[in-house]
Amino acid sequence: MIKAIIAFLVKVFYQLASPKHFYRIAGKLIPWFGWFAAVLLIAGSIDGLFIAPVDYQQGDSYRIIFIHVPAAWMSMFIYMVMATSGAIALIWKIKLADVIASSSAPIGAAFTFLALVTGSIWGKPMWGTWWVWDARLTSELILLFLYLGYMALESAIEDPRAAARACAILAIVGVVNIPIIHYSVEWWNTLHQGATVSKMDKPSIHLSMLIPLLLMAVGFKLYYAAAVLSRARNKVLLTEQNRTWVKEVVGLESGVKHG
Amino acid sequence: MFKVFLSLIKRDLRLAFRHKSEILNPLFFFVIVVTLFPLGISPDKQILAEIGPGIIWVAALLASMLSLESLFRSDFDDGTLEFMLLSEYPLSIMVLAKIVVHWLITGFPIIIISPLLGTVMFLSNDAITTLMITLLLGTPILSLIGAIGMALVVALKRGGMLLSLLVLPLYIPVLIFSSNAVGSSMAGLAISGQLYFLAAFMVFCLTLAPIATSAALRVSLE
Amino acid sequence: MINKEVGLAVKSLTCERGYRELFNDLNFELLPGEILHIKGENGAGKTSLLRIIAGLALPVSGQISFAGYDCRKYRSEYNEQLAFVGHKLGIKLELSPVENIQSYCELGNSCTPQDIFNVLSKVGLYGFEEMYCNQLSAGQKRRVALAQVILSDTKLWILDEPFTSLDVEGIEYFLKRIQQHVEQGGMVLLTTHQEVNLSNCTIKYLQLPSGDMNA
Repeated sequence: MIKAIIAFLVKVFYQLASPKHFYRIAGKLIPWFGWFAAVLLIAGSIDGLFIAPVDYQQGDSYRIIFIHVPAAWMSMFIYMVMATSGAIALIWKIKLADVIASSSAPIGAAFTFLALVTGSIWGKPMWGTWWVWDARLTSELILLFLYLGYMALESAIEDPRAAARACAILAIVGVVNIPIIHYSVEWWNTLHQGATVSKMDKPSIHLSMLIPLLLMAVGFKLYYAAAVLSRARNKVLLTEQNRTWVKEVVGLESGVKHG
Repeated sequence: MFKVFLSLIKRDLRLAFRHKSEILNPLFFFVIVVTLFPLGISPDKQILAEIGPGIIWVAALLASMLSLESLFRSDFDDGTLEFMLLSEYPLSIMVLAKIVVHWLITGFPIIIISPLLGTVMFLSNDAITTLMITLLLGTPILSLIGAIGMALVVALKRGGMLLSLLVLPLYIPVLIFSSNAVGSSMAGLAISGQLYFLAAFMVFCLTLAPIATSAALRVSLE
Repeated sequence: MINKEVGLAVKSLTCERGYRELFNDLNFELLPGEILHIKGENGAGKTSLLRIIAGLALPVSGQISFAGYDCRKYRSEYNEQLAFVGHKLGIKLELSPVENIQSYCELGNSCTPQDIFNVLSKVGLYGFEEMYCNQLSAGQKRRVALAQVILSDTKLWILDEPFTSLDVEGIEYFLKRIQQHVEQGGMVLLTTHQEVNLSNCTIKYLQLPSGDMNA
């Protein structure tokens, strides 16, 4: 009985992972993810910018955390996704996992960059300078380097399949190292700075601030889902260009008849 | 299996001694980079002692990274790397042998010359001892992590810049703990925590880096 | 007679370079005592095919088995039976022919110094044994690489353009060695623009589809 269920699940999984089915299903999912993301992001922004109370220490300038913190979460999350799907692609030879990993990289890099920029904008009123070697910002900066290395490696290797496999190895090595890097940066930071102003570490955040934060976080996640699926759809068409189903799809969507 | 390990070490050492520049160039680079800082900043004793540990370690990092080419480049170009992949022995053993040789010809000379550089940077005797210990623990890590990066870029024509982008972020923990240990021992503080971290990180890399490197080599040779 | 299981079997192999398909659903078998001569235009994927069979490259899909075992799963056992010469010779220029062959042997089958000197004199490198390989000509380096194959005690030889830069005598000698290997139950897979004329040998041909972009 259990065996049958597992066999069924494996079958469903492989079917979903087949590029053709993925292309179709992703096409249906993207609008849903996209619209929900838009709704949540708008609601979260209104809530965060206008409804959430003013912070008694930082005034209104703290409101940038509603972008900064979810972006920083996403930057870590997406790297995990890349490493996990890289591992899946290496172990089970599922091509789709490679596609997901490489489609995620630019989005992850963009979130990391966003976290860095908002962090430094936030730092200006708080610390009086655009940049402070604070543990969180430094870790984000190193994470950005990891993303850039990943994308540089991907674009440097000409054969797309070799590039995907090389990048999968790099992402796994990176993800193993991230906790170590993170720990050492934290440690270095406490030694050198003593007590800096680190507002977000304490869980004492008020519910009225937490709600917009979570709205924005879920909105970002859904946006990522929509973005990665639509990038992945394009990549699937590119990598599968020799298959007949792609020729049919492209023929249909562009309205050109293939003779 | 151990025989193939030893014979590769022997072969690579023989090759390195026929190409002495491979041993000497990273060493000269290391010395020159350190020399630039007093010229660029100030010959002031206090300032140099303050920044010395970091500078020496950054220079060691760069010297090790720039010498990574010697790890697989020539084997890739002449095709002996293919034979290693086609051997019946595990690739990670052979990779480890090559990493050991890389450390012997780049890391080890750096350790030997480091007291000299510590002296010109006005480090205390204790700090110089610590510097040598951190180099002893840290440079193998640089070779091990660097091997992964080099294996990923070995098939690329101009992999040098890319290599630094891949490898340097991963070197950061070594830099932080090592230079901090040297700085702390200057100030007479305890350094055992940093050394334990370095030792643990080295063992960690020693177990995993050869496997990752061999996987990367198989991809690169495709 | 011949056990069907001990040969090399290639099943529904597909290979792409970039996004371009080189060949699709390729099937063939090679039995002990046979030579397979792979033909095809430049860019048809001859080298890619040989590298895939040697296990150096990954096919898009398909299976390769040797003696009934999947080559990817039993890599070490397969490698034990395999000798490969590609475009890159695997010769270290800073080492002498003897040292080169010695380090090659240490990666797999063992051989004595006596064996090495013997094979070097047979391939016409008598007197060059201790010279650095960067002083040898292209043809002589090729001879060193082929000497390694001859010395290796393996069943399957995969030779990618083995006769490049060899002179007429050299080609003749190596053809003879190939024949000898096949007569002893070995298998040879090769690409060459040379005609391979060997009496008493089963030579199969495999024509790869042309690399025409519009096909």
